[in-house]
Amino acid sequence: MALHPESPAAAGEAALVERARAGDRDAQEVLVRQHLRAVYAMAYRVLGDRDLAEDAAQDAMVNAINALDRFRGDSSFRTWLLRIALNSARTIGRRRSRRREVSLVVETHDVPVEAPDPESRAARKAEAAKALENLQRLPPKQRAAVELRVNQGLSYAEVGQVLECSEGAARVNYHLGIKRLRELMQ
Amino acid sequence: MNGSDCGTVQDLLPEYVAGELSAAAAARVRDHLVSCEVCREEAELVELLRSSPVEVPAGLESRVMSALERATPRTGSRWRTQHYALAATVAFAAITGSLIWQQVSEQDNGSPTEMVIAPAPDEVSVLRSPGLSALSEEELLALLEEIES
Repeated sequence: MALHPESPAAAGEAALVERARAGDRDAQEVLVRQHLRAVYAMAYRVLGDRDLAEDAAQDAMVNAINALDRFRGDSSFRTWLLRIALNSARTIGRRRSRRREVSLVVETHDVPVEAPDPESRAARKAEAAKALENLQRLPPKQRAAVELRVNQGLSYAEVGQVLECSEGAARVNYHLGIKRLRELMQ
Repeated sequence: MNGSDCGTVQDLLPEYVAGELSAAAAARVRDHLVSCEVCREEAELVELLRSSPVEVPAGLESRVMSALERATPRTGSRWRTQHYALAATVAFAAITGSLIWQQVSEQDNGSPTEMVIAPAPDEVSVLRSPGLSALSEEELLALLEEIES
């Protein structure tokens, strides 16, 4: 979740970003450790493929650290980083589309789920895999809007910053995506 | 069922499922879910989407750091950063100076110098309206087209 701009945690992160910007490799490593999971999760849910998501996450983190001079603090660091991650995932997604047909099948072993017993865990896993497959069927902006709201915990304003659209458009994209997903899950 | 209640509740579902709402707001959502099947289905979908946390593959962090090391070796990175910062500062000062000069010139001519950027009327109604969930997909797409044009 993006930090509140006036929180002590945000102030600590600002200092960390400043050190990373100045070339402090330890600070850069801390930033990578703190944000890699969110970046990878975003890429994985956008691309639906673990290997491609790894490539996208790696590219995104390296590009972001090297472009810290361009981070002005207009948005939170997480929001700025997720925009880079989304662009990285899109680039890799476009390369994949040119090379081969997109496979929408998500292996159930890729989907760890929490459930009280093995039987309901298996059923839940299947449902979660189906949800992830159906997420891939959404248009890119709707897919990203759903991921950013549901799993990354961003507000509509922040979703708009990542998608480079207005807050209103972010809200509409989210509702379109969730509506379509509900239909696909039935 | 009140469409505006559904819109408000559906906007809050990610925070509700994540346990991030206040007790009072969570209670209001919970009360609505008891009697609204559509919102209940959506809450279950949000929960399902959140139920499969994604773990970072083993070794990815170290691969990222190795890639960083290859892309920007430690030697010279600080100099490069400071050099770019100085160049950017000089460029910014030049552009700002040019804009101020332009504004002063316009002031002298009696032209307005202040530009207020306000959301377009449709954007405002989308931000304020709780009733998006009551719109069909076609209506939502039309609204999106209007906002983005």
